[in-house]
Amino acid sequence: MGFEVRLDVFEGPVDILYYEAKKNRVDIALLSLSEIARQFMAYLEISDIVDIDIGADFIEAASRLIRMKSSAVLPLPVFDDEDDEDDFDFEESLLVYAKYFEAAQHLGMMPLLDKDVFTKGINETYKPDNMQEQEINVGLFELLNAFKKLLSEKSDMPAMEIRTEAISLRQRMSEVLDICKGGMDTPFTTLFQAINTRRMFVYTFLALLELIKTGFLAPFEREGEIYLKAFH
Amino acid sequence: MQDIKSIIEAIIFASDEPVGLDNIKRTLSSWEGDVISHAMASLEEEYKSGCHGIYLANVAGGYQFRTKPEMSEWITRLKENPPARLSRAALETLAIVAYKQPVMRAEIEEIRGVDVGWIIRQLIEKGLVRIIGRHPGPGRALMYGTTKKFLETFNLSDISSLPSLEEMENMDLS
Repeated sequence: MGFEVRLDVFEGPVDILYYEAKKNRVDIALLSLSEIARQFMAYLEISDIVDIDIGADFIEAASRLIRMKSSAVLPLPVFDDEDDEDDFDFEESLLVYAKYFEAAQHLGMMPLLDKDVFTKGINETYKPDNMQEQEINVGLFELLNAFKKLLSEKSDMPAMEIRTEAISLRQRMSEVLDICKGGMDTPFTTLFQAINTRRMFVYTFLALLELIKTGFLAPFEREGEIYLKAFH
Repeated sequence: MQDIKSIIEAIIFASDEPVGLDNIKRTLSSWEGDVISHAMASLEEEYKSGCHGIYLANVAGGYQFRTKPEMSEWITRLKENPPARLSRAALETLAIVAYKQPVMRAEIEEIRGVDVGWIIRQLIEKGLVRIIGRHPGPGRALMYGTTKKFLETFNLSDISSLPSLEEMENMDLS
Protein backbone atom coordinates (compact mmCIF):
# COMPACT_ATOMS: atom_id res chain seq x y z
CA MET A 1 0.00 0.00 0.00
CA GLY A 2 0.94 3.68 -0.13
CA PHE A 3 2.97 5.66 2.32
CA GLU A 4 1.49 6.58 5.69
CA VAL A 5 2.90 8.83 8.40
CA ARG A 6 2.97 7.95 12.08
CA LEU A 7 2.92 10.97 14.34
CA ASP A 8 1.59 11.60 17.84
CA VAL A 9 -1.24 13.70 16.46
CA PHE A 10 -2.03 11.74 13.32
CA GLU A 11 -1.53 8.40 11.63
CA GLY A 12 -2.43 7.82 8.00
CA PRO A 13 -1.88 9.02 4.43
CA VAL A 14 -0.30 12.45 4.01
CA ASP A 15 -3.10 13.87 1.88
CA ILE A 16 -5.61 13.02 4.63
CA LEU A 17 -3.30 14.79 7.06
CA TYR A 18 -3.44 17.87 4.84
CA TYR A 19 -7.20 17.63 4.80
CA GLU A 20 -7.33 17.36 8.59
CA ALA A 21 -5.01 20.33 9.00
CA LYS A 22 -7.20 22.35 6.69
CA LYS A 23 -10.23 21.55 8.80
CA ASN A 24 -8.23 22.65 11.86
CA ARG A 25 -8.48 19.19 13.39
CA VAL A 26 -4.69 18.99 13.43
CA ASP A 27 -2.66 22.02 14.52
CA ILE A 28 -0.41 22.84 11.60
CA ALA A 29 1.89 24.95 13.79
CA LEU A 30 2.76 21.95 15.94
CA LEU A 31 3.22 19.56 13.03
CA SER A 32 6.81 18.49 12.39
CA LEU A 33 7.20 18.54 8.62
CA SER A 34 10.81 17.39 8.83
CA GLU A 35 9.64 14.30 10.68
CA ILE A 36 7.17 13.56 7.87
CA ALA A 37 9.91 13.99 5.27
CA ARG A 38 12.23 11.74 7.30
CA GLN A 39 9.58 9.02 7.47
CA PHE A 40 8.98 9.26 3.74
CA MET A 41 12.70 8.87 3.01
CA ALA A 42 12.79 5.84 5.29
CA TYR A 43 9.76 4.44 3.49
CA LEU A 44 11.47 4.86 0.12
CA GLU A 45 14.53 3.05 1.42
CA ILE A 46 12.65 -0.04 2.55
CA SER A 47 10.18 -0.30 -0.33
CA ASP A 48 11.67 -2.19 -3.22
CA ILE A 49 9.33 -0.83 -5.91
CA VAL A 50 9.62 2.63 -7.39
CA ASP A 51 6.16 4.11 -7.92
CA ILE A 52 6.28 7.56 -9.46
CA ASP A 53 2.64 8.19 -8.49
CA ILE A 54 3.32 7.66 -4.80
CA GLY A 55 6.28 10.04 -5.02
CA ALA A 56 4.27 12.65 -6.89
CA ASP A 57 1.34 12.42 -4.51
CA PHE A 58 3.63 12.80 -1.52
CA ILE A 59 5.43 15.82 -2.94
CA GLU A 60 2.13 17.47 -3.74
CA ALA A 61 0.66 16.89 -0.29
CA ALA A 62 3.93 17.83 1.42
CA SER A 63 4.23 21.09 -0.53
CA ARG A 64 0.70 22.04 0.43
CA LEU A 65 1.52 21.36 4.07
CA ILE A 66 4.69 23.46 3.84
CA ARG A 67 2.76 26.32 2.27
CA MET A 68 0.11 26.08 4.94
CA LYS A 69 2.62 25.88 7.75
CA SER A 70 4.69 28.79 6.46
CA SER A 71 1.64 31.02 6.39
CA ALA A 72 0.68 29.84 9.88
CA VAL A 73 4.02 30.34 11.66
CA LEU A 74 5.60 33.24 9.80
CA PRO A 75 4.61 36.78 10.75
CA LEU A 76 2.18 38.26 8.25
CA PRO A 77 3.57 41.18 6.32
CA VAL A 78 1.55 44.37 6.42
CA PHE A 79 -0.63 44.64 3.33
CA ASP A 80 -1.94 47.69 1.67
CA ASP A 81 -5.47 47.47 0.32
CA GLU A 82 -4.58 45.84 -2.95
CA ASP A 83 -2.57 43.07 -1.33
CA ASP A 84 -5.41 42.39 1.06
CA GLU A 85 -7.54 41.55 -1.89
CA ASP A 86 -4.94 39.12 -3.20
CA ASP A 87 -4.88 37.48 0.18
CA PHE A 88 -8.62 37.04 0.08
CA ASP A 89 -8.41 35.46 -3.37
CA PHE A 90 -5.89 32.98 -2.09
CA GLU A 91 -8.19 31.95 0.74
CA GLU A 92 -11.05 31.64 -1.69
CA SER A 93 -9.08 29.49 -4.10
CA LEU A 94 -8.07 27.20 -1.24
CA LEU A 95 -11.72 26.73 -0.39
CA VAL A 96 -12.58 25.94 -4.00
CA TYR A 97 -9.71 23.49 -4.13
CA ALA A 98 -10.86 21.81 -0.92
CA LYS A 99 -14.25 21.17 -2.54
CA TYR A 100 -12.72 19.37 -5.49
CA PHE A 101 -10.31 17.60 -3.20
CA GLU A 102 -13.32 16.09 -1.45
CA ALA A 103 -14.98 15.36 -4.78
CA ALA A 104 -11.87 13.46 -5.88
CA GLN A 105 -11.84 11.52 -2.61
CA HIS A 106 -15.43 10.58 -3.19
CA LEU A 107 -14.74 9.55 -6.78
CA GLY A 108 -11.83 7.42 -5.56
CA MET A 109 -14.18 5.54 -3.27
CA MET A 110 -16.60 4.49 -6.01
CA PRO A 111 -16.41 0.81 -6.98
CA LEU A 112 -14.06 0.97 -9.94
CA LEU A 113 -14.68 -1.09 -13.06
CA ASP A 114 -12.00 -3.75 -13.63
CA LYS A 115 -10.68 -3.23 -10.13
CA ASP A 116 -13.61 -3.63 -7.74
CA VAL A 117 -16.36 -4.72 -10.10
CA PHE A 118 -16.17 -6.65 -13.35
CA THR A 119 -18.45 -7.24 -16.29
CA LYS A 120 -18.65 -10.56 -18.03
CA GLY A 121 -15.65 -11.18 -20.28
CA ILE A 122 -16.38 -10.53 -23.94
CA ASN A 123 -15.47 -13.38 -26.25
CA GLU A 124 -13.23 -11.77 -28.85
CA THR A 125 -13.81 -14.44 -31.48
CA TYR A 126 -17.57 -14.09 -31.34
CA LYS A 127 -18.89 -12.40 -34.46
CA PRO A 128 -22.56 -11.64 -34.73
CA ASP A 129 -24.37 -12.50 -37.96
CA ASN A 130 -25.20 -8.94 -38.85
CA MET A 131 -21.63 -8.06 -39.69
CA GLN A 132 -22.53 -5.03 -41.76
CA GLU A 133 -23.89 -3.40 -38.60
CA GLN A 134 -20.58 -3.82 -36.82
CA GLU A 135 -18.71 -0.58 -36.37
CA ILE A 136 -15.11 -0.78 -35.28
CA ASN A 137 -13.28 2.17 -33.82
CA VAL A 138 -10.42 3.46 -35.90
CA GLY A 139 -7.23 4.90 -34.44
CA LEU A 140 -4.46 7.08 -35.81
CA PHE A 141 -2.53 4.11 -37.21
CA GLU A 142 -5.44 2.88 -39.29
CA LEU A 143 -6.02 6.40 -40.61
CA LEU A 144 -2.36 6.84 -41.48
CA ASN A 145 -2.28 3.50 -43.26
CA ALA A 146 -5.38 4.38 -45.27
CA PHE A 147 -3.81 7.73 -46.13
CA LYS A 148 -0.55 6.11 -47.25
CA LYS A 149 -2.44 3.60 -49.35
CA LEU A 150 -4.44 6.33 -51.09
CA LEU A 151 -1.31 8.38 -51.68
CA SER A 152 0.45 5.45 -53.31
CA GLU A 153 -2.55 4.80 -55.53
CA LYS A 154 -2.49 8.37 -56.79
CA SER A 155 0.64 7.90 -58.85
CA ASP A 156 -0.55 10.34 -61.50
CA MET A 157 0.18 13.36 -59.35
CA PRO A 158 2.75 15.82 -60.74
CA ALA A 159 6.25 15.39 -59.40
CA MET A 160 6.62 19.12 -58.90
CA GLU A 161 4.07 21.76 -58.14
CA ILE A 162 4.20 25.47 -58.59
CA ARG A 163 2.32 27.08 -55.78
CA THR A 164 -0.32 29.36 -57.19
CA GLU A 165 -2.67 29.84 -54.29
CA ALA A 166 -2.36 29.60 -50.55
CA ILE A 167 -4.43 26.92 -48.86
CA SER A 168 -5.74 27.62 -45.42
CA LEU A 169 -6.08 24.68 -43.07
CA ARG A 170 -9.08 26.27 -41.43
CA GLN A 171 -10.81 26.66 -44.76
CA ARG A 172 -10.04 23.07 -45.71
CA MET A 173 -11.41 21.97 -42.35
CA SER A 174 -14.75 23.61 -43.00
CA GLU A 175 -14.84 22.15 -46.52
CA VAL A 176 -14.16 18.66 -45.19
CA LEU A 177 -16.79 19.16 -42.53
CA ASP A 178 -19.30 20.26 -45.17
CA ILE A 179 -18.65 17.11 -47.21
CA CYS A 180 -19.11 14.90 -44.15
CA LYS A 181 -22.24 16.68 -42.98
CA GLY A 182 -23.80 16.21 -46.40
CA GLY A 183 -25.48 12.92 -45.78
CA MET A 184 -24.88 9.60 -44.10
CA ASP A 185 -21.47 8.38 -43.03
CA THR A 186 -18.82 9.50 -45.48
CA PRO A 187 -16.23 7.05 -46.83
CA PHE A 188 -12.67 8.14 -46.08
CA THR A 189 -11.74 7.89 -49.76
CA THR A 190 -14.46 10.35 -50.82
CA LEU A 191 -12.55 13.22 -49.27
CA PHE A 192 -9.56 12.61 -51.54
CA GLN A 193 -11.39 11.87 -54.75
CA ALA A 194 -11.14 15.17 -56.59
CA ILE A 195 -7.69 16.06 -55.35
CA ASN A 196 -4.73 16.11 -57.71
CA THR A 197 -1.93 17.78 -55.79
CA ARG A 198 0.15 16.33 -53.03
CA ARG A 199 -0.15 19.55 -51.04
CA MET A 200 -3.92 19.41 -51.03
CA PHE A 201 -3.73 15.74 -50.13
CA VAL A 202 -1.70 16.50 -47.04
CA TYR A 203 -3.86 19.48 -46.11
CA THR A 204 -7.00 17.41 -46.37
CA PHE A 205 -5.52 14.77 -44.12
CA LEU A 206 -4.38 17.38 -41.58
CA ALA A 207 -7.82 19.00 -41.66
CA LEU A 208 -9.37 15.59 -41.05
CA LEU A 209 -7.09 14.89 -38.09
CA GLU A 210 -7.88 18.28 -36.58
CA LEU A 211 -11.62 17.70 -36.97
CA ILE A 212 -11.33 14.30 -35.30
CA LYS A 213 -9.24 15.76 -32.50
CA THR A 214 -11.79 18.46 -31.81
CA GLY A 215 -14.57 15.91 -31.85
CA PHE A 216 -16.49 17.07 -34.93
CA LEU A 217 -15.84 13.82 -36.78
CA ALA A 218 -15.38 10.25 -35.61
CA PRO A 219 -13.69 7.63 -37.79
CA PHE A 220 -14.89 4.03 -37.72
CA GLU A 221 -14.43 0.90 -39.78
CA ARG A 222 -17.18 -1.10 -41.44
CA GLU A 223 -16.52 -4.04 -43.75
CA GLY A 224 -12.89 -3.09 -44.08
CA GLU A 225 -13.62 0.48 -45.16
CA ILE A 226 -12.97 3.57 -43.08
CA TYR A 227 -15.92 5.93 -42.70
CA LEU A 228 -16.40 9.26 -41.00
CA LYS A 229 -19.35 10.11 -38.84
CA ALA A 230 -20.19 13.79 -38.37
CA PHE A 231 -21.58 15.14 -35.10
CA HIS A 232 -23.90 18.07 -35.40
CA MET B 1 -46.22 -17.13 -21.27
CA GLN B 2 -42.60 -16.61 -20.42
CA ASP B 3 -41.73 -14.69 -17.30
CA ILE B 4 -40.85 -11.12 -18.28
CA LYS B 5 -38.17 -10.99 -15.61
CA SER B 6 -36.33 -13.92 -17.22
CA ILE B 7 -36.50 -12.21 -20.60
CA ILE B 8 -35.07 -8.97 -19.26
CA GLU B 9 -32.37 -10.92 -17.43
CA ALA B 10 -31.44 -12.69 -20.68
CA ILE B 11 -31.33 -9.45 -22.68
CA ILE B 12 -29.04 -7.76 -20.20
CA PHE B 13 -26.83 -10.81 -19.91
CA ALA B 14 -26.39 -11.15 -23.66
CA SER B 15 -25.40 -7.52 -24.19
CA ASP B 16 -21.81 -6.32 -24.22
CA GLU B 17 -22.80 -2.85 -23.07
CA PRO B 18 -25.19 -1.45 -20.48
CA VAL B 19 -28.75 -1.75 -21.86
CA GLY B 20 -31.04 1.25 -21.44
CA LEU B 21 -34.53 0.80 -20.05
CA ASP B 22 -36.04 2.46 -23.14
CA ASN B 23 -34.19 -0.07 -25.29
CA ILE B 24 -35.67 -2.94 -23.28
CA LYS B 25 -39.12 -1.40 -23.53
CA ARG B 26 -38.75 -1.11 -27.30
CA THR B 27 -37.65 -4.74 -27.56
CA LEU B 28 -40.54 -5.92 -25.41
CA SER B 29 -43.13 -3.72 -27.05
CA SER B 30 -46.01 -6.09 -26.31
CA TRP B 31 -45.68 -5.42 -22.57
CA GLU B 32 -46.80 -2.29 -20.74
CA GLY B 33 -43.98 0.07 -19.85
CA ASP B 34 -44.98 -0.01 -16.19
CA VAL B 35 -44.86 -3.80 -16.10
CA ILE B 36 -41.32 -3.71 -17.47
CA SER B 37 -40.15 -1.04 -15.02
CA HIS B 38 -41.65 -3.05 -12.19
CA ALA B 39 -40.01 -6.32 -13.34
CA MET B 40 -36.73 -4.44 -13.71
CA ALA B 41 -36.88 -3.15 -10.14
CA SER B 42 -37.71 -6.54 -8.75
CA LEU B 43 -34.87 -8.15 -10.74
CA GLU B 44 -32.50 -5.52 -9.35
CA GLU B 45 -33.70 -6.32 -5.85
CA GLU B 46 -33.29 -10.09 -6.31
CA TYR B 47 -29.67 -9.76 -7.32
CA LYS B 48 -28.87 -7.68 -4.26
CA SER B 49 -29.44 -10.73 -2.08
CA GLY B 50 -26.50 -12.53 -0.56
CA CYS B 51 -26.63 -15.66 -2.68
CA HIS B 52 -25.50 -13.92 -5.88
CA GLY B 53 -21.93 -13.01 -6.83
CA ILE B 54 -23.18 -10.53 -9.40
CA TYR B 55 -25.58 -7.62 -9.22
CA LEU B 56 -27.53 -5.48 -11.63
CA ALA B 57 -25.67 -2.18 -11.89
CA ASN B 58 -27.29 0.98 -13.23
CA VAL B 59 -24.39 2.53 -15.15
CA ALA B 60 -23.99 4.97 -18.04
CA GLY B 61 -27.74 5.19 -18.54
CA GLY B 62 -28.28 1.44 -18.75
CA TYR B 63 -28.28 -1.85 -16.88
CA GLN B 64 -25.37 -4.27 -16.76
CA PHE B 65 -24.49 -7.33 -14.73
CA ARG B 66 -21.36 -6.74 -12.70
CA THR B 67 -19.55 -8.75 -10.07
CA LYS B 68 -20.13 -7.48 -6.54
CA PRO B 69 -17.32 -5.33 -5.08
CA GLU B 70 -16.67 -7.94 -2.37
CA MET B 71 -15.79 -10.47 -5.10
CA SER B 72 -12.97 -8.31 -6.47
CA GLU B 73 -10.22 -10.26 -4.72
CA TRP B 74 -11.24 -13.49 -6.44
CA ILE B 75 -11.67 -12.00 -9.89
CA THR B 76 -8.36 -10.19 -9.67
CA ARG B 77 -6.63 -13.54 -9.11
CA LEU B 78 -8.11 -14.66 -12.41
CA LYS B 79 -6.87 -11.66 -14.39
CA GLU B 80 -3.35 -11.47 -15.70
CA ASN B 81 -2.73 -7.73 -15.53
CA PRO B 82 -3.38 -5.87 -12.30
CA PRO B 83 -5.50 -2.76 -12.92
CA ALA B 84 -3.71 0.57 -13.25
CA ARG B 85 -4.38 2.90 -10.37
CA LEU B 86 -5.37 6.50 -10.94
CA SER B 87 -3.04 8.89 -9.16
CA ARG B 88 -4.38 11.46 -6.72
CA ALA B 89 -3.55 14.18 -9.26
CA ALA B 90 -5.45 12.37 -12.03
CA LEU B 91 -8.43 11.79 -9.76
CA GLU B 92 -8.58 15.46 -8.77
CA THR B 93 -8.36 16.59 -12.39
CA LEU B 94 -11.05 14.11 -13.32
CA ALA B 95 -13.28 15.37 -10.49
CA ILE B 96 -12.92 18.96 -11.69
CA VAL B 97 -13.74 17.96 -15.28
CA ALA B 98 -16.73 15.90 -14.09
CA TYR B 99 -18.23 18.73 -12.03
CA LYS B 100 -17.36 21.74 -14.15
CA GLN B 101 -17.75 20.36 -17.69
CA PRO B 102 -17.45 21.81 -20.24
CA VAL B 103 -14.23 23.09 -18.73
CA MET B 104 -11.06 24.67 -20.11
CA ARG B 105 -7.59 23.53 -19.13
CA ALA B 106 -6.88 26.99 -17.69
CA GLU B 107 -9.85 26.66 -15.31
CA ILE B 108 -8.58 23.32 -14.03
CA GLU B 109 -5.11 24.75 -13.55
CA GLU B 110 -6.53 27.70 -11.64
CA ILE B 111 -8.12 25.34 -9.14
CA ARG B 112 -5.27 22.86 -8.83
CA GLY B 113 -2.54 25.49 -9.07
CA VAL B 114 -0.36 23.29 -11.29
CA ASP B 115 0.00 22.37 -14.95
CA VAL B 116 -2.46 19.65 -15.92
CA GLY B 117 -1.70 19.24 -19.64
CA TRP B 118 -0.02 15.89 -19.23
CA ILE B 119 -2.69 14.55 -16.90
CA ILE B 120 -5.46 15.56 -19.30
CA ARG B 121 -3.66 13.79 -22.13
CA GLN B 122 -3.44 10.68 -19.94
CA LEU B 123 -7.14 10.86 -19.10
CA ILE B 124 -8.02 11.26 -22.79
CA GLU B 125 -5.86 8.25 -23.63
CA LYS B 126 -7.66 6.23 -20.97
CA GLY B 127 -10.94 7.27 -22.60
CA LEU B 128 -12.27 8.95 -19.44
CA VAL B 129 -12.15 12.51 -20.76
CA ARG B 130 -12.75 13.90 -24.22
CA ILE B 131 -12.74 17.20 -26.03
CA ILE B 132 -16.31 18.38 -26.30
CA GLY B 133 -15.80 21.64 -28.14
CA ARG B 134 -14.10 24.97 -28.18
CA HIS B 135 -14.67 28.04 -26.05
CA PRO B 136 -16.32 30.77 -28.12
CA GLY B 137 -14.07 33.42 -26.59
CA PRO B 138 -10.67 34.60 -27.80
CA GLY B 139 -8.15 31.84 -28.33
CA ARG B 140 -10.92 29.27 -28.88
CA ALA B 141 -9.58 27.14 -26.04
CA LEU B 142 -10.51 23.45 -25.99
CA MET B 143 -13.28 22.43 -23.63
CA TYR B 144 -13.18 19.08 -21.87
CA GLY B 145 -15.87 16.77 -20.56
CA THR B 146 -16.23 13.22 -19.30
CA THR B 147 -17.07 10.21 -21.48
CA LYS B 148 -19.53 7.35 -21.29
CA LYS B 149 -16.59 5.20 -20.31
CA PHE B 150 -16.09 7.48 -17.31
CA LEU B 151 -19.63 6.64 -16.13
CA GLU B 152 -19.02 2.94 -16.74
CA THR B 153 -15.69 3.01 -14.95
CA PHE B 154 -16.96 4.79 -11.86
CA ASN B 155 -20.24 2.89 -11.64
CA LEU B 156 -22.37 5.99 -12.26
CA SER B 157 -25.78 5.90 -13.91
CA ASP B 158 -25.36 9.43 -15.26
CA ILE B 159 -23.34 12.52 -14.50
CA SER B 160 -26.05 14.00 -12.29
CA SER B 161 -25.81 11.00 -9.96
CA LEU B 162 -22.58 12.44 -8.59
CA PRO B 163 -23.33 14.05 -5.23
CA SER B 164 -23.30 17.85 -5.46
CA LEU B 165 -20.27 19.68 -4.11
CA GLU B 166 -22.48 21.23 -1.43
CA GLU B 167 -23.74 17.83 -0.32
CA MET B 168 -20.20 16.61 -0.06
CA GLU B 169 -19.16 19.39 2.28
CA ASN B 170 -21.43 17.84 4.90
CA MET B 171 -19.95 14.38 4.45
CA ASP B 172 -17.11 13.25 6.65
CA LEU B 173 -14.59 11.54 4.45
CA SER B 174 -11.80 11.03 6.91
